[in-house]
Amino acid sequence: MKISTGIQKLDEILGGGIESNSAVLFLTGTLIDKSSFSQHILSTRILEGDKGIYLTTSKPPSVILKNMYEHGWESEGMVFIDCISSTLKQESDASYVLKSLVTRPEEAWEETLKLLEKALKETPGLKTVVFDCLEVFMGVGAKRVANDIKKLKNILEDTKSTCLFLFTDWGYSKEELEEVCNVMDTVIRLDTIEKKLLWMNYFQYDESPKILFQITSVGVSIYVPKILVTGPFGAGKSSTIHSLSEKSVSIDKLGTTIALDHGYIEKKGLVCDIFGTPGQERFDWILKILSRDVWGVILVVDSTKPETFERAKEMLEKVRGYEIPFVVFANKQDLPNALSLEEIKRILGFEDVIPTSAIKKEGIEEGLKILFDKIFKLKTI
Amino acid sequence: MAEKKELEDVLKELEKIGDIIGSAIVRRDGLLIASGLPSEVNARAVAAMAAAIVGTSETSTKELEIGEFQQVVVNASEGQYVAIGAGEEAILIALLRKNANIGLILLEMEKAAKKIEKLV
Repeated sequence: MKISTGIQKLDEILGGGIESNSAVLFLTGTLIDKSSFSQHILSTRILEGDKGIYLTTSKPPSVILKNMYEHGWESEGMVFIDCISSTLKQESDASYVLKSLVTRPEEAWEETLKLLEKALKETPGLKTVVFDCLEVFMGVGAKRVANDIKKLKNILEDTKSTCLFLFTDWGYSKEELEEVCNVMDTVIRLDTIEKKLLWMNYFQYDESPKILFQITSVGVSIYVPKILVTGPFGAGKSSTIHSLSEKSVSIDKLGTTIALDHGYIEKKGLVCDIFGTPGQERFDWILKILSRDVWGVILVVDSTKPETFERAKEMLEKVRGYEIPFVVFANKQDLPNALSLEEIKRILGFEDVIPTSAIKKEGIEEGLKILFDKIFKLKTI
Repeated sequence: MAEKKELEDVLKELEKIGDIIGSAIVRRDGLLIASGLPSEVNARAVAAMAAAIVGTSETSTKELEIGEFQQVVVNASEGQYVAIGAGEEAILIALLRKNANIGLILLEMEKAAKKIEKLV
């Protein structure tokens, strides 16, 4: 059975979620906050009724709980296997505490496996386990780690537990990595790439496209670096951006944008920078500055002014919108003399036209979703 | 590939100069690369505007045929703001205290911009 991770895009590339009662490896780069990533998933699982078990080798339980609380993640009833406090010579009130020092991998690994097995057997019901983190035990050798996990998988199956193993690749050999990956049911890769000076995190499963994400105050969010909003003078571009983004800034004089609008969306699992252009021809030179490396374009037109549609198409061309995913927002649909959607589609010759009213905040979010779907379908990195 | 930390180190080094309140590296198309601006500043919006300011200034420089663009300095009643190019892809900005020694700061910013250019 597939179970949801709470990260919609991740569920999609996994064909519906992660397999229950299985071993999942998150193989990560060194700059990724893998703990937070897995805590988001754990929180989702707890909300869906699983018991959460957290095995920690690097941060004491109090630090983990604090991080989860700050992101608004659910940690109700979570059971801790504390494998770090003894090493730090700290007291621990966790249900299971490792006595061995993690600096002595042989002993620590053996005892950790025993504690984990005990926790799995003593905790009733469906369980999701975060094993944070596996590479600490690589001192015993990749072969041994892989062999022991193979045995552990039977216990996962028997105790109805799904285990998320977190593993940072600090430069292990290809053979060592293969050893660990091959024993897992699923391997999800989390890493960082640099594209023209932007450092971006992504997750990837198998040969799937790399999906960009950021971990924000509300959790793991899919990241689209840049959306451009353009369209003729007076179409309602600034209003569209203001209705999309609570924290937006406009540079305007006498009610018309003269340089740019900027907004930042952070909601519904998405983060994105939005740039708005002026509409008047005398500012067209700025289109070139703002339209570099854009991921998607929203073309806003005034539904009551079909005479401006030619200009709209010209602007789309100037920002090279035809080469990238774009949608049309047929704005001011709340006005009595607005043209019908069909008419607008016919005059423009575009299919993806969404009726909107920026002032009434209607159709805006639906339109954005359509654009994002187009971006994810077409744009890969 | 440059590490983000290296760029952040360039900013930290620059911010050691007393009269610099904060600084940031911005991509020419307006996205924020690294920020050392005060946390209450909307750095993403400032980044977008910096790209527009520098882009506009460069275009004007060309249009007016007055040679090579060098920097933009914004003078305000409570402080100053400087933006310079840092290679083909990036812009370096700095927020300065009122009455800051702008000559010295520009010199240091030029050095930092060269470092950034090499890193990226």
